[in-house]
Amino acid sequence: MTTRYRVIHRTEYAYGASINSEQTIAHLLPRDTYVQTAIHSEVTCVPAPTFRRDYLDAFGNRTTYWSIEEPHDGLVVTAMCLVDTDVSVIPPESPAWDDVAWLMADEHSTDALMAMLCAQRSGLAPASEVLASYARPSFPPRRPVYDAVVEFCHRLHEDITFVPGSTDVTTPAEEVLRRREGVCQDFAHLAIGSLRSLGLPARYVSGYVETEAPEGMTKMVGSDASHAWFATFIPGWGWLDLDPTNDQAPPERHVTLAWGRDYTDVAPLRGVLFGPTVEQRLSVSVDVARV
Amino acid sequence: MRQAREVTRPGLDSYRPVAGRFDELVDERGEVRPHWRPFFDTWFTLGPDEVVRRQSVARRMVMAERSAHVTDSEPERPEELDPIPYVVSAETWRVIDQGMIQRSVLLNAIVADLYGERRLVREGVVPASLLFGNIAYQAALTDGAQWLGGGHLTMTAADVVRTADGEFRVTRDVTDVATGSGHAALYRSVMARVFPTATRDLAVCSLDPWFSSLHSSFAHHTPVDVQSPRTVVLGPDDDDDVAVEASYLATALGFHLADASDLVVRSGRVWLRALGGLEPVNVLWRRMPERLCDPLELGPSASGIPGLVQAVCSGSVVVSNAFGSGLVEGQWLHPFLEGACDILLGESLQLLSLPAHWLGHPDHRNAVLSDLQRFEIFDVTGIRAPQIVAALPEPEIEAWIRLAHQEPHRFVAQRRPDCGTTPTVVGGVLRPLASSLRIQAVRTDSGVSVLPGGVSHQTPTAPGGATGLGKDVWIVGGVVSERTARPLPSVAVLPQIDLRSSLPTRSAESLWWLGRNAERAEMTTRFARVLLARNDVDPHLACSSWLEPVLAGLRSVSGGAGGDAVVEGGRSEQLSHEVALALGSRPGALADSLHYLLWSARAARGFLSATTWKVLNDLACERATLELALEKDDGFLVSESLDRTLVELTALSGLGIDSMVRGPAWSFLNIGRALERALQSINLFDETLTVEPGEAEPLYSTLLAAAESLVAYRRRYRSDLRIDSVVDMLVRDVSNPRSVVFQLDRIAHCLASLPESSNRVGPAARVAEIRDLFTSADEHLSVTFSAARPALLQLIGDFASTWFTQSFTQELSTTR
Repeated sequence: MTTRYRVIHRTEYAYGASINSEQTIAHLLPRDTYVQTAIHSEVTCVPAPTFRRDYLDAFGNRTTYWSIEEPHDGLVVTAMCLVDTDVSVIPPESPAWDDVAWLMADEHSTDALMAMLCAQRSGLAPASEVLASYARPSFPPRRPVYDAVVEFCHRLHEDITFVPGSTDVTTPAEEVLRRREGVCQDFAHLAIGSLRSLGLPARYVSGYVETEAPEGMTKMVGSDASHAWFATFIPGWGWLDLDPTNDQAPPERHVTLAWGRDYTDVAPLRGVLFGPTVEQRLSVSVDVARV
Repeated sequence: MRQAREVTRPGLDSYRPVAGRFDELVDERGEVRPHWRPFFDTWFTLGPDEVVRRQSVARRMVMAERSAHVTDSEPERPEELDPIPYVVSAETWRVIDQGMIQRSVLLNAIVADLYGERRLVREGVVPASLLFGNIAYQAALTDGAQWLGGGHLTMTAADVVRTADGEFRVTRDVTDVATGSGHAALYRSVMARVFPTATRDLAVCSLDPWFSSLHSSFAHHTPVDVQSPRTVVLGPDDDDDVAVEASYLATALGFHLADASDLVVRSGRVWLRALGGLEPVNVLWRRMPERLCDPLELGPSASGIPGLVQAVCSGSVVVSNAFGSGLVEGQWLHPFLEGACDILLGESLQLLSLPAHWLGHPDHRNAVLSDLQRFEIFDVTGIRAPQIVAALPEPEIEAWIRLAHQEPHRFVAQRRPDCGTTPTVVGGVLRPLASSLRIQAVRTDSGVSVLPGGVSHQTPTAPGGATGLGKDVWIVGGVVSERTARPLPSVAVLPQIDLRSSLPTRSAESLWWLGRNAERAEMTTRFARVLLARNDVDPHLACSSWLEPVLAGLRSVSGGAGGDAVVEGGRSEQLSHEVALALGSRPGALADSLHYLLWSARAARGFLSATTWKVLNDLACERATLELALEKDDGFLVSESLDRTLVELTALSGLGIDSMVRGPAWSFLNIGRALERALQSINLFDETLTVEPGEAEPLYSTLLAAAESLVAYRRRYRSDLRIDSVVDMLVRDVSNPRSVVFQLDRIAHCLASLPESSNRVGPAARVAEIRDLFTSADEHLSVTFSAARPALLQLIGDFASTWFTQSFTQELSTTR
């Protein structure tokens, strides 16, 4: 069954002072996936860019670079898209988790190469003994990897409390584990770091979830802003998405934007401002509706 | 019958090669190898004293070159040049030459593959974890073809040692910023001067053709639609040695040397901030490590040029070496190079690496762990520095072994080499020191060309002891290859953008500061000299009533205004104390001005002639001498040093007039001089001419003498020194090159010569206003001065805001 979503994502920065110019890299356009097709999408900003370039980044994400080369004191970015999504499927069977490392090394597909990249530590999702110990109870020897990660995702959901504003984008995974609270990207980074600590591949996925729940369904956590979850690679089958914030594997009512090793690779907006140092005030609104 | 003369030569008979190592000079029977003999024939005709003398000449020349290129005047123990070259026969070098050509082609293919198709990973040659976990792996660099563009690995270098069996083995590939060629050129120019006949008589392979192929490789990179390209050398931020090289090569090849703050990305293009606005850059020769080049995409960096990667992607600029080149640097690929060579080139690897093992392979891991002391360990994640684990304390070794079992895929172990040795002068005696050669290669459109020579680095074979010594590498006994023996068939080198009309703003500001500091130094020097000279001939000077305003004047031109120096003791002590302060290193005093003079000269080095550098080097020496003389409180030495300083400063000023092309650069230098002279004259005269002097005659004559105008005054007025005439001469005279008004006219003249695009109107109007103050009203002098001083300071502000702030007041950037 196909569901069509319309997403409107508005980001507003107020700098409080005039800056001379800025350069920005945006990951705000949805990529096509096995279950998702973008019917229409656009990203615009005010003031209008002096220069703009749209391209696919190293992970195949749709990326926009722009520069604004005149004095301005704020920025409004509006991303809009229409996407059709199908219901995700789950793997009928999966190999033992402790065989994943060598199975993916043996599989020469592009997906498997990506998996090997995503098995390595990265800045916001490092590997460590602490994270490995946290994950290990869900990964007894020879347990099928699908069962293991689904159970781990559930356990993480139970252990960590969703508290908006409790962390920022640079909070390390071990810190989140210690404080037992965080936002969706912390759930994702903690899961990714833990899987990597066991030698398993895990990648960060950025996107949205449906804002208003249809009748009979619960409202999703993380629906007021952009959302994040993670995916792991199952050799012989492909990437499986899991949302630890909402305890869904695979996620339902989600729209995927981009994926990478961690938040840094796919931040919705990343940039450099030139001029006096400014205090940036940010307001974000996201609306994801069925149409 | 064997000739015994070689081994009985003085110096050589005590030369004992190290057992178990290959010695370049002496073979296993104890005989000097034939290709070394011609060199030692020359060497022994010199005699030991002469050798020592030439060694010190070589050292001084290397230091002088360094000081012209780096801002830090006291580098920490730079490598010294050994007067004995590393002599290699052409026959032997051919092995390196061919091997290095293949290696450059191979590394280029590997970079393209690892950022592109990744056959090497898919086919299991290079372990994925070693690649993807590598700190040098830039995930932002996608499709190899797109990123490498026309650039590729333009320059590569490799460190090569000779193992005990006499074979050359690579210890390290250098691909991010391939350094060493600048030092090679520098060492060769020094050696050619130290042994003028030897390089010629021995027919040492010339390095020049290689540098011309390097030059033409940049012509080859230029985007096709550009008629008059601009190639800019992007210097490093901090690294001294690399900065020396970048500067040396930029000067030698005639490219502009920029740092990151000179460059900006706008509209997907790279621009150089210049006087007339932004000027496009077409080729960027990068001497800055890639991870520092673009904070937007290549990792956090306080410097760099945000958007540079985007500009490369847009195709408007070629960066060389291309981004991504750093991935194949070092040793981590060495265990897999033979396999890669087979797959990518279908050839077997010619120039092998030292044996290296990836610990991710269980057999290799065990072999390394059981014999740790023979290996150096490299961690591709960059978390641990390269180290000889066996040399660590026992608990750390154990901790490391645990880590190596947990995360073996991070580590590559390289067999420690028993480097071959070369004869090196240590304490006046020849000793065999372990040698490592740095080989250079450059890609041009007609293939790879290897520098026939280079530098070698010598270290003691036993640990501890002396620092390293550098050597020039001489290839003798024939031609290595046709390619390196003659210049390439002329590749059309497009004319670079006309630098006469173009001046980067940072250079403009540096020249302006050069002028200002030179002028300030000169004024202080003249003034102090005149005072000291009077003190010598007039024993009552210290008690004279006119001395007070003179000392106040001296303070005002040497950064001491506002603070009265209090000295115990008599007025004589106060005089010498004040002079010492004016010559010392407080801000604005002589030593300080000279420091900034040299600093700005280095930043503007591309605009200064070789002779100018000789003068600047002498000034640097004089600064040290003066400091010493002041410390010893030796009046005679101080006076003598001041005389020499003045001669050098005058020479500098003369060179500015005589040997600098008239253009914006010259204008800014002169505006700086005139501005400083005007400002300091006003400061000085405000202290001395606006007060009622107790004794007019000595005061005025001192002022006139310090302004080199005493003789002219006497010739013109042939009278006593009268205040009106003195003021006329020193302030309002339009024909006296020392007068205030003359300076204003000079500034106006220079401003008028700047290109129209340069926003010169505002500053020019300000200069006219200031000049009016001096010529129109008949106000009291002190009133004029108090109006002129803030106006001049405002003019300085105008300069900064019109031309300089963009680059020097580094734009603050906020990231999100």
